[in-house]
Amino acid sequence: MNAEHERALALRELTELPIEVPWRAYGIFVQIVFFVLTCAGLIALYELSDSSGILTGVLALVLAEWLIGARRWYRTGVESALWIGGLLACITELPRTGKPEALLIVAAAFAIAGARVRNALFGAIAAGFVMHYTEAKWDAGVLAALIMATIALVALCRTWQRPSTEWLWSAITVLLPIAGYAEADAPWRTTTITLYALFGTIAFIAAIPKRHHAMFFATMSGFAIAAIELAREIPIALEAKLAIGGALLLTISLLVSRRLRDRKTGFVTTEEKLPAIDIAVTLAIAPQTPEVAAGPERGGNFGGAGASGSF
Amino acid sequence: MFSLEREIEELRPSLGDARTGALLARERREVFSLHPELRVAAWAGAMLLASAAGLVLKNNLDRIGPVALSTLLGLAALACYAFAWRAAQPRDRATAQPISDYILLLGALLLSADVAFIETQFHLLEHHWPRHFLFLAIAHGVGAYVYRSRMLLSLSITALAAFMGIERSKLRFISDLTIPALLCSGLLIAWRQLHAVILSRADGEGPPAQFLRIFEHFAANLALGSGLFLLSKDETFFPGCMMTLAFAAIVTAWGFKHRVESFVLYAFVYAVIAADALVLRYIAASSFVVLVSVIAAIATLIVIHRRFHERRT
Repeated sequence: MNAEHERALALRELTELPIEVPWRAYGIFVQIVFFVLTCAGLIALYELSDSSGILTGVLALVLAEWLIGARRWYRTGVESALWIGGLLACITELPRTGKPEALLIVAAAFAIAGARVRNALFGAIAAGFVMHYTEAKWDAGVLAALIMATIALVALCRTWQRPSTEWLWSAITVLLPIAGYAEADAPWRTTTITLYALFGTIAFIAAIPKRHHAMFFATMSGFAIAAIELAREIPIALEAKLAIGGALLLTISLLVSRRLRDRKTGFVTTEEKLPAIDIAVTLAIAPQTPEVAAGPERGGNFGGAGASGSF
Repeated sequence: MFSLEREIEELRPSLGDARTGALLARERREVFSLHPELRVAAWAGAMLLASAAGLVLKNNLDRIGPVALSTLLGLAALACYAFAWRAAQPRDRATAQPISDYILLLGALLLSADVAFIETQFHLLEHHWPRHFLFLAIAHGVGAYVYRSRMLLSLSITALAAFMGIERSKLRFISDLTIPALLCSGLLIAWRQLHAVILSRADGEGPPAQFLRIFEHFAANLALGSGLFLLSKDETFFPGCMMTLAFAAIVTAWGFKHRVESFVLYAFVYAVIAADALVLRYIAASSFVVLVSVIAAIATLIVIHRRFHERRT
């Protein structure tokens, strides 16, 4: 799918106008159902082929490419499951060495599948495996996670033509710090607190001018993890820590709400779906909306107005 | 940063000036809502406080005593309800939203914990202890209507399902849950109908219309799940599969009629589980059958999805 079609799809979801996009794409819940069903089918195929990873993998990848190329399936869940399932099936044929480098192979599989089907979650999982590799190899999982999240945070600051690229950076920014926390060790607690607090601060500094939800959520996760680790150092009862944390969160939420009261521009607290509902109501009143067609697929990967490139 | 400014501007004739302006302001971040962040923070705060309350009950029973603890918890719940009540008044509505929803939820959770604590300490209901769920279902149900809260309604329905499940089946076998689940589903449908009647006759501000969908979701899932419970016993396996398939057909038809895709979707998932269970048990348990059934399921779902959207447009 080229960038123009991806943008048209995003526009259709935002405006709810009947914009023609020459790709089959489903909502998130349908995608999940298709993904799970296809995974079940791939496992059955693997069993049926006498645990032949190569045969299962090749069949899955050929079918995925046929669905994408000939049938124009994008974001259906099927092609994503076939791509990642196919690559993982091929990996099962590799000799088991027990070396941490195997994690990089799995990371590469997720990265390749993610790039092909433009799946942000696959990209974030690939980054997670790289982080896990650095932990296994150099005991630097937290550091790697926060470095990758910071790079993604910086990447989010520039303009991207494809929504899927934006989702990739958002997913890495939000999920990697949380995944990295699983690798945090007690002897390095002070370092962990410092790093997560620093990451939270950087994310917050970026979030205020850029106004991006992923940045705000990264801020929250950074400070939350730093606070959890800090609380371990304080010798009071667990219920007191939970109560203080809960009260603090509610108070901050209330103070922010109060501060933003009656604001109509800038930072507000109204529900984001309101404009979409507004549009739907308008369309219901005036049903004669012209069909807007996305342009034909062209050679480039992204870029309206004749621009073209990889991202 | 991804932006659809150019495309939105091009759609101005279709969208109209007001909508285009609103969407452009959103894309340019001239208007940026912190609503999701505030909701997550408020939810996390409420959950932390509810967990803290649970630990206080567990760890301080000997030191503080049951009467003082239950009184404290009751007062805390009351304070949450009072805050939510004050926040619901027009003067404060803009300030406290979206936090008041979660403070109300916290109050309801504290009330639930308090009622359960009182029952475990004082055995007021003795052998009929599951009836405290019925009390909670009524209390949260009343709260849901007073505060017009979907969260409290969900809590009320969950408590009702817990009461019916434990009271009627005594939880000996999973298959014993079928009748209570069906009864609960029927009760919810009746409650939904009553709600719809009141809603249609209300002048001005009646009960919340959004409650209807909550009743429908719970009723459909309980009915669909009731058939699957029967799969745990050999003698009820076949009727369980057939029952699930029958309910899936009803829910799918209902989803099509009322144009709600989520009902069609999960009726389909339940139907696939029942059909696969049936095939694997009575015809052949092989990878080939699973593969064929998965392909058939995907093809069927594509057709259903297409038909659903054809009807909608």
